[in-house]
Amino acid sequence: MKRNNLFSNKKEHESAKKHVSGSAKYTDDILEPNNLIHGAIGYSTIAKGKIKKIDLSKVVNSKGVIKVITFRDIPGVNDVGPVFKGDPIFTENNIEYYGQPIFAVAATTCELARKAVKKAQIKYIQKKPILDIKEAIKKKSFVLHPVKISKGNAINEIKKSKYTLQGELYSGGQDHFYLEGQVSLTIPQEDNNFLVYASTQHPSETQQIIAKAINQKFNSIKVKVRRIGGGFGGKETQSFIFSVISTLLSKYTNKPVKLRIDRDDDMIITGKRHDFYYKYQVGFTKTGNINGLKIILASRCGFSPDLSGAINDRAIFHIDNAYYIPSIDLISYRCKTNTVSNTAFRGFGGPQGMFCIENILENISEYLNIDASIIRKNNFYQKNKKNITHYGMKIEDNVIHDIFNTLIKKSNYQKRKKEIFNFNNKNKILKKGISITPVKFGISFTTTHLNQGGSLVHIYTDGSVHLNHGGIEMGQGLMTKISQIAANEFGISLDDIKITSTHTEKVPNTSASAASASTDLNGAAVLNAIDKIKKNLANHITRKFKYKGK
Amino acid sequence: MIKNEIEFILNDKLIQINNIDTNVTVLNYLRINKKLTGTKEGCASGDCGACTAVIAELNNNKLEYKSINTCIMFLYSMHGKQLITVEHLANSKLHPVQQSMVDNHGSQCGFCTPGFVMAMFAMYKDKIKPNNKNIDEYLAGNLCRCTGYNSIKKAAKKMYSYGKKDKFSDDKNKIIKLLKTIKQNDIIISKENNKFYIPSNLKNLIKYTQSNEKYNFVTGGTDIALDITKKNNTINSLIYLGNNKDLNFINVKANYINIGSATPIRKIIPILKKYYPSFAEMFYRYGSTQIRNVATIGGNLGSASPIGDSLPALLALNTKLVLQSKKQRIIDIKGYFKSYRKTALKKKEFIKEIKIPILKNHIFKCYKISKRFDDDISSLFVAYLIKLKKNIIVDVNIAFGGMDSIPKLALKTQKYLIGKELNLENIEISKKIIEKEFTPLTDMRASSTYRRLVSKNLMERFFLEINENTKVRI
Repeated sequence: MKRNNLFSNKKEHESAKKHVSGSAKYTDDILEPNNLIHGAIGYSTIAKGKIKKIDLSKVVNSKGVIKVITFRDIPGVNDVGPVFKGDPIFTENNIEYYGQPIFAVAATTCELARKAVKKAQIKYIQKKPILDIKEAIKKKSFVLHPVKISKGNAINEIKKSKYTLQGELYSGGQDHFYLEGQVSLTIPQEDNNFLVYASTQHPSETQQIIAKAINQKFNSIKVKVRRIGGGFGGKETQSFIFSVISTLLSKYTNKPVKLRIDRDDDMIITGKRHDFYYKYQVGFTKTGNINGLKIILASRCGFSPDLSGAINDRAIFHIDNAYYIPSIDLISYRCKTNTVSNTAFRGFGGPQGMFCIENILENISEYLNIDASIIRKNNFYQKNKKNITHYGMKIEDNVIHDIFNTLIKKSNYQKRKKEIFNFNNKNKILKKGISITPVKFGISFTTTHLNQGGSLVHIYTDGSVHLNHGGIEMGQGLMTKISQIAANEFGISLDDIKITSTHTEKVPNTSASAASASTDLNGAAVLNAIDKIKKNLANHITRKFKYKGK
Repeated sequence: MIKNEIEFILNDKLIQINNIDTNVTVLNYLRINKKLTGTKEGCASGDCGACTAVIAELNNNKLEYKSINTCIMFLYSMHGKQLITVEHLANSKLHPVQQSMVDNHGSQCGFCTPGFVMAMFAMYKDKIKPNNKNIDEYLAGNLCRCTGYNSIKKAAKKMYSYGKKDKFSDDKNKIIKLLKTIKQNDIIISKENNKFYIPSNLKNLIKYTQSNEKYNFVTGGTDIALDITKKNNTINSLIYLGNNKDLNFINVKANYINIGSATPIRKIIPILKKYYPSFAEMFYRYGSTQIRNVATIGGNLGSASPIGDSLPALLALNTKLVLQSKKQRIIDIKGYFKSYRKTALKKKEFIKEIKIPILKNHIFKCYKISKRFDDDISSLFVAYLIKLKKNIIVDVNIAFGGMDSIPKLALKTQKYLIGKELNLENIEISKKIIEKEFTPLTDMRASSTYRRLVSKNLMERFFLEINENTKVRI
């Protein structure tokens, strides 16, 4: 069969023409059902405390309001926590962060719903919130137990070292700012079933959490996503609450409900990147080789665990970056603070780990007055020895030495460094710098059973192919890449392949589109399916036409 | 004759509207009323550019194309204009900017893309040379979070290679003809309790402002629209100044730059460049192209924010303000700012004109410090005006924004500097005075300590820039 070798071809994004002409539909662009109503969320305006008194009568009586719901209206589980519990849809009484949802409104227009929410009269008993990492450590306020890793006797190695350094540093938080804000549209179906259009990286878990909240079977909820306007981790779990609320409002009004969150509220309600605090002690040789590292990694997880366990684990797994650390004594604190529950974000803890070790190496370089690129090189994992990480994994296929040496040459690093040195000597105010840093990054989920994809491939009798898979198109070009894989494997033109959407009805029980693995996982699932189809076709042809050749 | 409806061209159709609420933004009108969902809402505060559309206005028988943030523009301010949305760019073929975006992989998740396309389209229609500087200037108001800027820039660089003429060049005369049919009458829209006035000249504006009704002025709307989109408030009465021919001018007369209070920043930059290049330069960081196309310094003065960037600059330049009610009076800007967002404006009085003196023997510099380089509210802002005689300071104004509840002169520091030689030693002393002269707030933009530190350091920066041959800019 002819193969296209489409992998290596440059191909425009499958939606590029639609993107540039405004015809690519996002959740808020879907043609609205004509009896559509709109939701808005009322949230706490204190960071910690209890609700003393809540009076929603003015909200109920506000113009255009059709329904107001609180935790009392949740028939099932009042929690959207994905792995661990602790993320109430609406709080019953306890306020854990500024922006915690308390109630929601459905009204005839988005404007009226948002106006109504403002009319709530809520009195609080305020308590002193814990807001930063150091305070949380001091008060032993954690969302999950601390995790320790040790290898060798780091304390001893540091003591024995000719040189030692210690220090503290911080890495900051960050909002995802997906250009398309959080939005969910629920359309009621027969038998109390619901169809949900959501802007999410994880339709399956959206389906499951909605079903649990309204106390129905998973098979009564369908979640459909064509594309999302950016996720970056911010829609891996943080989108759930909006889909649950739009569905609850839909259930109580028996009308289609759209819940589109204003950008400010989106930023106030949803989690962000974990900011980290690090404290370290490092012992090293005169060539800057690390002998031992004692380190505290502490992150601000916010009020609930969410994905903080896996994120902090990943920070631990990346604290070595590309370097061999012979002995380590590490403790990771997952701090509970009265702030939004921090969540997945591009790199998922990896950057936070790497940031710390790179900083330590820079400090060693400065201390020894040896160029940082040399200190880095001296510490790299080796090919045949010094190749076991602090968590016991063997580094295979190590290419860092080749990459690094090539880059040093190609970038003219040495020459540029000299030029910069001269420039800085001559210029009193303006200063320049240069740096080269490696990255070792772990692809895939650390919760290994999530590393699975799914696909459903149809061939119609005219030869055109329709396929669905478990991944979400969020700008990474997933649909384009998977179309290329399918066309290549079938040996047909890309024009004959259509990927419609990611739909829980087509491919069930999927993993989130995350962990830099959606193409690999779902692409492989598509290959798997095509392989089976091709075998069936071959069998059929052999039998029907008594074909005996190869 | 007063009309009770507005008329504008939506893409290529002339339409009349008077039955929509007066607080509705152009974006919500497009998305909700017209189901033109190509234009996106990203932030609803004019920061991200996802909602960018283009307006074409008649100027000397020519069409002038401007990109705008539709999320913070009032629908009724579209009167007399052509509003072009992303859906209208292509005919049977994609528009050159669209094709260039496709071929250069300028879209990833695609949500910011229509906004980028429209900003680029305005650039294309302005025949702007697509070099790095110009691309930065024209696209700084559009954010892409998938970090596709390189490809987007590449698309902008190559857009003219897909043809320098587009369907808008072909339709030009038809549109001009159509725009000419729209009369620039006064318009009053009444919808339930809300009103929208469009006075076409000064005389009528004075008339409307003398009633006892509570009203707000709007031109660009880049500040007041947030009251609606962010605070969910209703503004009952709006007086739109953007179509007022008597407030839209800039000229140079008798050693003054005279600026009508409703003149968009876009129009005043070329003149300011001649006399106060640092002031003009600042405007590229004050707001994006979309903002500069409609925002006015009259609006800055009206809202009198302590961090409105043009205000300290105007304060340092000894600007005069022409205030108008039934009568006219001219005041010195020094007496204008009373307390937080309170001004010397009396009831039924408005700003008619801004008069900036041309001081040829002075040196003027201003500096903006903000988190985002373009299109952000300042953490602090400072403007220096200085006159030297044989290196002795004979006149000096140092005006700060973001250091107090109003834009404010550093009077003590000024007093110290007068009569002193301009040298590093005296600058060092002035830094100590400045440090004590202000007690700035700590807020989300900057801490009090940071503001103090930077206010001192800027003094040195100013000195280095004007006195020593030290390079302080990249």
